Amino acid sequence: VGRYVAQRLLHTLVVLFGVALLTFGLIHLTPGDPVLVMLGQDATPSELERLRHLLELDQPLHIQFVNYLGRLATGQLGDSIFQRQPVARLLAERFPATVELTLAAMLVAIVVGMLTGIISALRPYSAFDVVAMFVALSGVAMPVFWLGMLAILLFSLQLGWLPSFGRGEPVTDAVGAWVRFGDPTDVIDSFKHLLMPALTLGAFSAALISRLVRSALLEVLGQDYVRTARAKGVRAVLVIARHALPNALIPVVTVIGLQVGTLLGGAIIAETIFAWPGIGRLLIQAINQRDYPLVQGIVLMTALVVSAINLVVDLLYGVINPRVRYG
Amino acid sequence: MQSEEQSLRPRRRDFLRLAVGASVVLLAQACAPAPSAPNAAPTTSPVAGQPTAAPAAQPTQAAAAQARRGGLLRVGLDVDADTLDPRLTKNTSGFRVRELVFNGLVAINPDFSPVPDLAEKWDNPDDKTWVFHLRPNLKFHDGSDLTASDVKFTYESVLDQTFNSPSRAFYLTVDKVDASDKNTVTFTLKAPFAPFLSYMDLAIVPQAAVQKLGADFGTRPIGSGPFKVDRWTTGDTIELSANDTFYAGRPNLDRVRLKVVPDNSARVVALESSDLDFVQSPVSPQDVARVQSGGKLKVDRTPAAGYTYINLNTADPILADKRVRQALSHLVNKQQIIDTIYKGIGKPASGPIVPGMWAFPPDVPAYDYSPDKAMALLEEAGWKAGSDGTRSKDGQKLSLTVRTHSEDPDRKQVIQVLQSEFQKVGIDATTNAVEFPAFFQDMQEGKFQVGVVGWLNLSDPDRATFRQFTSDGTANYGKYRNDQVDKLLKEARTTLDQSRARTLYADAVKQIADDAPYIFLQYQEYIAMYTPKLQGYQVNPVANWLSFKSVFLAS
Repeated sequence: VGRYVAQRLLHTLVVLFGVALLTFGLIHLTPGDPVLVMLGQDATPSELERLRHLLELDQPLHIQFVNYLGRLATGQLGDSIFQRQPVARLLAERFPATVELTLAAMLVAIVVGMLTGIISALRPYSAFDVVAMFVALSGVAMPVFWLGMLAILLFSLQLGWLPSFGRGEPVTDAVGAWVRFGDPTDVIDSFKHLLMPALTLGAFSAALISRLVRSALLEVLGQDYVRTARAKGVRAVLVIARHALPNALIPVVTVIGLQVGTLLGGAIIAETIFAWPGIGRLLIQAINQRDYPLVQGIVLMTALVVSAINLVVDLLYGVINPRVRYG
Repeated sequence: MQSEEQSLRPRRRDFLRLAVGASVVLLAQACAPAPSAPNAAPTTSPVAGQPTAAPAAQPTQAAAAQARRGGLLRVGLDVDADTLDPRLTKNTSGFRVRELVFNGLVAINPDFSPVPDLAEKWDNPDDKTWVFHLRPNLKFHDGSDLTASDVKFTYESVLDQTFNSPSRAFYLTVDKVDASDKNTVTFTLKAPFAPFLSYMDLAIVPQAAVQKLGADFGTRPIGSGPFKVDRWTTGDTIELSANDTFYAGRPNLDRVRLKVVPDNSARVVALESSDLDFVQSPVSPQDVARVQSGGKLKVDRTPAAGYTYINLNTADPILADKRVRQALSHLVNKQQIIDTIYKGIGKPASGPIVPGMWAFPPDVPAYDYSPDKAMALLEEAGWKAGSDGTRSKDGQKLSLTVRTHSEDPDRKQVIQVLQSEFQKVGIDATTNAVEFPAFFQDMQEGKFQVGVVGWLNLSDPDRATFRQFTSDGTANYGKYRNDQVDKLLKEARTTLDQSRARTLYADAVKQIADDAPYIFLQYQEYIAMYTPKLQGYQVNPVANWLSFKSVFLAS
């Protein structure tokens, strides 16, 4: 396993280089100039020229890229052109919010998706199955911004149950305060803020997972060994939990791993609708301002996280299915 | 130029009321708020356009008795501030925070006139010298004294090229700043500069704290204004609390919380769900109409210091012909665009100086909507219709691309309307909408034919004209050139006599309107929507939140 991990880490490094190259190329080739955005319409040409020189934007692209890689190698992400703060600091401030939202959405997707998928598979073509699969199909088809806006109109404006936007205290801090001081107010507030964005963001993945679990489980349930186990008198619950599910889960785990990327992408939109102070919104803003170092930092960081999670998922195969061998 | 407010030209009476309201506030500044009618009924129809904040009719003493201490005001922001260092900010949120946390030598009133702020008075012994006398015993939030040397430091830092302040361009006429004594600052200009005072609202920062904190001053600013910054969670919240030592008295509110809610509609819904107390432009016209008809919230609308326009590139071979530009001007049905796309928000525009400004010329001839006149002008210019209906001249087709930036859904509709109007008279018109940075770069480099954009923060007539219409103006994207206009605008900016300057501006605006380098589309409106509990808010198109220092929340 150690050798496998080492190999994968090397792959990750290659992927990150590719991501850095692509992001750098794309953002620099996109029309628009950060200096113009920064100094605005009142700046004189000589001022623009001076700032371009200061930011090394007047150098040839390949030189800029080599310089950028050199700084990356020493762990420097540079300063945001527009916000005049270190990119690393901005990432540290904003990334936890995105992680919290994405994890919560993931949890929603896995719990809701698995449960409906399993129940649907056990009672195929029942009323529950038909309704659940119809809802799931709608979930796959519904854009995040539309679902989010509908949810706000219903739960905040009409019913007044949930706050219409924003984030409470970070969940980790809130839980910490609860444990230490016994006061659950913050936790409740944080969860109330988190609920709607997480449901909205997780809806697509939940729908996808439920359909996948249903079909995978249906297939496994038709296998001979399941029938044999049932014939031996093993209880249905045990058959499903011990024999059917682990086999059905292999493709599901792969999809869940890939969904992390989808969720991080969806977070960009969910964060805008729900005013969630995460990295997705920062990315949109950075792109609109042509804030090169910030865009590169965010994309690189996201690529790193997605790669790491996929590595973990691949290692999980071995746990679920011992037939999988690395090497 | 990016996010702009909608505007509506008021009737003259409204302006008088606003102006009177402003002076009442000025008198009452130190002691009490001048609230709008308490328990006022929700604003009526947009056409009525009653400036509910105009407190002219309210006796100030009675209002003072009702003012209530305490409370938290939750305000929605469309974007987070880029930095809280007022010398470096270049977005609207940064400027709004600056109004609460800092003071300039002067403040800008709703009628665009400069009024005393840190400076209690000033004089100008000759055309090129301005002397400001500071109020005594001014303090920053950290307890240190605000003196003339802080003023000198602030202006010199902005003028320092290496500091890269986006405001630098406004102060290039300043030759030197001297702190004559602790409370006196003298500005010496390179040349007489009429709009000088309107730029003297630059926020004054504490030299000692800035030098100690360095770049961190942008995240932990120290000012002298009615509120101080407690905490800034980037992308999310800016927490402010009352400054007990504010020179004009502690504000009524205990705290102001600014929350970033980027989606325009989500921000309005948050107000309707009582998660926010106050939102302001930019708002979508549909949401304004809904809130107004709902009747539960207060809606204040006032002409903004900005307008939407169509830039015609006079360097383009087709558009170099004045007759073609005039023909296009006749093809824009301004009122219809305002009614359908902007839901009645804003007024048809006639020139670059917004109504409400002292130099606004009321009698500029407007281009009426007339495809017939447009066709006659195109014929005259030699563009004849071919067998397919498309016009051409010397084998060249009359092709125009109408562009705007993709972030603004209303402007994307405008270019489609223009395309169809142009096509009706035989112009081969196409549309193109890209993101603002890309569009703006093309504008700056003159790579466009017809572009729909806007101007905002036009707080004085010079700012509305000089950069845009002088032949080497920094924002003259369409390379417009008229020596007469150059002469008039250059003379106007050095003319301190306002009635003389008014004539110069009127002549320049009329000449510009005739040359048609711009099609002036719509004077925008500044819109504030808030809970009826908020009392004393006074709409101000330039310094939107200036009245927060005296507002209060009724129980």
